[in-house]
Amino acid sequence: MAKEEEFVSETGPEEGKVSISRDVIATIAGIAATEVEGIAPPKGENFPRGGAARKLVETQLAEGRVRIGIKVSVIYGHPVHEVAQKLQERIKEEVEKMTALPVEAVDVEVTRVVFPEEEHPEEV
Amino acid sequence: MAEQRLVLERPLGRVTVHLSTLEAIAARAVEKVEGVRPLRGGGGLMNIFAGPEEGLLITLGEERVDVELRIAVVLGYPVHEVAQGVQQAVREDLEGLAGVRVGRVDVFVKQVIPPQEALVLEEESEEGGENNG
Repeated sequence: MAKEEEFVSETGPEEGKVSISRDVIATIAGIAATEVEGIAPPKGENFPRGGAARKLVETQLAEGRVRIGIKVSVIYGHPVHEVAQKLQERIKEEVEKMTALPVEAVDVEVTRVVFPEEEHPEEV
Repeated sequence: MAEQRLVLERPLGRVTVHLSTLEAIAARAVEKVEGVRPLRGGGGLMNIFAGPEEGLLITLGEERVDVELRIAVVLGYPVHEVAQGVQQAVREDLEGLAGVRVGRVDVFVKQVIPPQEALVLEEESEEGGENNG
């Protein structure tokens, strides 16, 4: 696998290195997103995992820090800006807890609101 | 036309809100006001607000938006009160549900609709627009 496809943390010369793929980060972020109230899961299902999650979650590594970008729909009635902020907190917390990689920023893109009567939000 | 976005810088990163999101919230706010109907010649309640030429235009500023609305009022409702109700509903919902500062909300009442026709419009939209009579 190409080096830019994974995040590597050096624990020390003796212990070896830990490498975490982008898919893993995207999946963790995606799952965290489903746990935030007001976020509409894509197509009324669970958040996609692995490669599929990367369509909605972007990950960048700069100077040892992770920058995450995620696209979401918000359920109508929930304040978009508050949901977005909770999502940022939640993703930062989860990714840092599970990967031990420092998260520099979580950029949230709200592409639409989903009305309760809409059963299946279109994929954006 | 590239879709416009509202960008809010937050401590944990950037929050980007697509304009269509704001339009949907504003359109729904208008629908909640009694006595308002979409302009004649348009599609359903939501469709009428789809294009900037038709019912709803949102202009983005820096962490602030201006809104322009074209509506029809059902005859019998006090036009200025309905229009003010629309202004208030749109402002409240955009501020409360999207967290944006709302500058101007300009409402243009372009038509009045006789109550009988308003009823027909309602039935049509309830039946999914199948009835063309």
